[in-house]
Amino acid sequence: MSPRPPTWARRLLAWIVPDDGLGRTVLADLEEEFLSRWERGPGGARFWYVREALGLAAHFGVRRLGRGLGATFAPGRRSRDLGRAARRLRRAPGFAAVAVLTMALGIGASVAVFSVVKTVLLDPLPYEEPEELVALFEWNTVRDVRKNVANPGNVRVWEERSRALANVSAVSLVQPEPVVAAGEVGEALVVYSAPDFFQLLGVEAAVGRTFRAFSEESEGWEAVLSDAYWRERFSRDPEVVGRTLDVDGTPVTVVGVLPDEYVVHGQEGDLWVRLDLTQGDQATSGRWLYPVGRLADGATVDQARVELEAIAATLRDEYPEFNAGWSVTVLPLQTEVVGDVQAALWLLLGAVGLLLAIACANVAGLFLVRGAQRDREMAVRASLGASREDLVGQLLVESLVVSGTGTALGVLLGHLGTRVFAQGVPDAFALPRVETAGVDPGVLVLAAGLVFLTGMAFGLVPALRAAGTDAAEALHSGGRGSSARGGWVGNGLVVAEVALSVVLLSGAVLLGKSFSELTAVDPGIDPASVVVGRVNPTGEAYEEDADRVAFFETLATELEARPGVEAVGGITFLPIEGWGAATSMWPGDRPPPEDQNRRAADVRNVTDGYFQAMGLTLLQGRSFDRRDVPAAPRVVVVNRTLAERHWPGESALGKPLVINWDDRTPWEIVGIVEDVRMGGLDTDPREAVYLPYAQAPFFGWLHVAVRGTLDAAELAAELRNGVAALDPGVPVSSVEPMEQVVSRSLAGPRVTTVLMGVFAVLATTLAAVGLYGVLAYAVSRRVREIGIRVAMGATTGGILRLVVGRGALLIGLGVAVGWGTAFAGGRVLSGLLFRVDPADPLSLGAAGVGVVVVALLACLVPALRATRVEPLEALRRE
Amino acid sequence: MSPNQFLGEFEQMVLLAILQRRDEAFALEVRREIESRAERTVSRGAFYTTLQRMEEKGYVAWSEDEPTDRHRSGMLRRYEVTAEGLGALRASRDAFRALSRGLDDVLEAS
Repeated sequence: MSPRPPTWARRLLAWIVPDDGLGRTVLADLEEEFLSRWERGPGGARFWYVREALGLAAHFGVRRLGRGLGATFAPGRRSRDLGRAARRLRRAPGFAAVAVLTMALGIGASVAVFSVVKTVLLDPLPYEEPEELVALFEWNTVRDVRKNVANPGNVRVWEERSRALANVSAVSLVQPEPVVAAGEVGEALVVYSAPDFFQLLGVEAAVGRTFRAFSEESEGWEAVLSDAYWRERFSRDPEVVGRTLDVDGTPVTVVGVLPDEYVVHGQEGDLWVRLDLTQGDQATSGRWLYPVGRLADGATVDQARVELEAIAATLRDEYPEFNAGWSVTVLPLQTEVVGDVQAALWLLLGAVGLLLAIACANVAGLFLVRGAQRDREMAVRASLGASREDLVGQLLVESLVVSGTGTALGVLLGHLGTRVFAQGVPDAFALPRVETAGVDPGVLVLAAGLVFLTGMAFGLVPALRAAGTDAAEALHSGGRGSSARGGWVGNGLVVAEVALSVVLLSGAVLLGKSFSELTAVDPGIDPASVVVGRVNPTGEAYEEDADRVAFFETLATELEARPGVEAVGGITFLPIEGWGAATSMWPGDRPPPEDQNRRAADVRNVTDGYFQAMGLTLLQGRSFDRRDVPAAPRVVVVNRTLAERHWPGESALGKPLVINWDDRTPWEIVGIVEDVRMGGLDTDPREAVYLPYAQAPFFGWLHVAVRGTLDAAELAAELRNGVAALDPGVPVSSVEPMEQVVSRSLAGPRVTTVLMGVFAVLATTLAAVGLYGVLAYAVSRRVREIGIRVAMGATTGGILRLVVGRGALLIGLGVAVGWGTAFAGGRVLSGLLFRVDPADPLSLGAAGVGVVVVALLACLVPALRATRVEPLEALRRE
Repeated sequence: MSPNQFLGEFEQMVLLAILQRRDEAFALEVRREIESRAERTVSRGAFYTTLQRMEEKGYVAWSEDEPTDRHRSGMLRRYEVTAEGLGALRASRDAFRALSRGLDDVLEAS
């Protein structure tokens, strides 16, 4: 074995030490010492050499970096370079524009999405020790409703018997109530709250105070306002504390205002009213609470869950009538608040991560290509005496101009994107806290830094190559070897980019298909030409049920008499919106089922015009009419699912139905209507019962639907005017076209789908640019070879095949890898897909084909350029 | 040299080591000289950087010699101290002496 130091260490050192006599001396001295050590033992000598070489490389590397930066930012010289760089970039506008845009998009998209995800998912909730808080629900195991509101009696038992929970408190479902505030009549969304609810969360009032426990000094009605309600109704007047509001005829004293950043648990409200929630029991008071608990010291969520499930089991035994088929759900409050959007947000975060990776790969590729085109220029300049510092400096300035512009634009886009996301998306997504999302400085630095450094690093490659030392020269003139090695990086980048694009595009196609499946779902109603609004007649004039029934009947009669109005009807809870009353029921012509075998159904109280106004199809029997008065036999209309489940193979018409919430006298089924998606378009139809409002006026308000030939604004005006004509004191709120209600239930999927689509298109475009770059690079390196081929008679087709073939190979590899990844990662999507298999071959195929087509187009440009190579010209170039 | 430019401690050591080696002042010998006489390890990088800096200042000059082994690629440098280098060394020594005059007791004691 000849005494030679490790080649790689020697090359590394040769590349880094100054390219002058001193550098050669350093190498020679090191080798001299190496030789003398070799005689004492080759292994030790090699180890010694590597150690010394690394030390020297670090020393000279740091010095060079320092000098390079110093030289670069030395004022006079760099302003000259800056002018030169600007001129050069003007001559290559395509490169500059594409590089700048790539960087801006990569940074902008990732910063915006990450900032939102961080605010919504990662930042702790603004409560005291939020990790100790759990959200509690009752779980209807029969209908598989995991997050049902809870019964006050059950909640009280949980608190009494649980050791894992130190405290439990709750707020009610939201209740629209007429409120007289500052002399103005209006409707406000009221949430009834246990006195210790805000204390348990650790939320302090922004103005005034939150609730105190009931006591002798404090027994009246108290309210705290939401920040929004305080702003809209009281113009942020701090004097509001101590004032009295009239809530549905009851005087209520305002004691405080909640902070702006308060994250609502339960439903959004305008004001919270203190109520003693410990009064309700299992028998009479139904389920209407959103409880929260605080874990006892050292207790975990799992312990609380196990314990509460055991308590729920004993509650089933103690109150079989009420609790059969009910268990309990325990979730960390953070999980509950973030809710359903979690999956979509993580998905989008993954998508922008991929996009950022593609953008970086692309920037690297672009600079490599540009560098390759300038090898010659660099070589000439070096041979004319330009020092390495000159060349590095010049390229550094150029890269700085491009990367700096791109990064700055990206940061701007990130800001804008975050703002758009924070303000445009909340309605759609119901993202908690998203309004507070601002650009996260950490992620901004990370994304911008990553892209910027990529640009700078790859921008310097040509300078290092041109001014390389002996060793670098050797590496370089290895010819095939080096270009194969350099090409390997570029090829790898392209395969990765194509693969990532396929993954993103597959996701987008799957979501798109899922979305079109969703919109194709028949909601069971005909929302076109319908306007809905909540009408809430309360107060002394409407205390009697008969008064409200009469009010709604008169309203319908009056409105239907107007030209352009066809049908008018009211319902307690709008379909599609997803929430409302439900209870268990069973056929009255058979013995009642065991408690645990009872089936629950949605219950909706409707006026006689409802089915017609909302456009439900009557399948059998009749709908309600004015015969169905309190004194008449009690009748119901059921939906198809309920009829088929309880009376399979026979007609349910005329059958008796027991509803488990009154005296259990059976109701007679007089009609069967088509199913309606009560819980949103992506839910299966559930069993549902419609009661005539005249016989069951349990709720004070109704959502009144007005169908007509007028346009939406005119129908809305008819509704408002109609109510005002009867009684100007009756508030009308939430007036909107029914189509908007339906569309809202699609908003989440729509946003996810559109964003994924945008990301996928961006990714594919960027991948195409990257592919173009690498192939253009390859062609520019092979001009001489192509020239010779042409000179020797290669046809245009042959040359095209040569270039496109190479591109096709890369594309093929990328698509294969992408398919594999999309197939394996499809699970991620499954929760977001509706009636679409995450491995749907058609969608994956379409995504692959899409990427292939775009990528092949990108190949064609350099391929066509290759066919125009003039043999003589090419040969002269060397 | 300008009189207000004094040599650093390490520069003085390098110059003195070159003078000590006389005709044998190859770079690696100089470094070994410092390590053995001053009983300290000398960072290779700092050493070469210092040599280069003093060459730029004109304190040292060098000539190249054939290496001992013909497989070797580079040349070995033999360094010598120039007249300017000697001047700087003297100036630094004088300054040191002037500053430490009368402090022999203290310096001895320490």
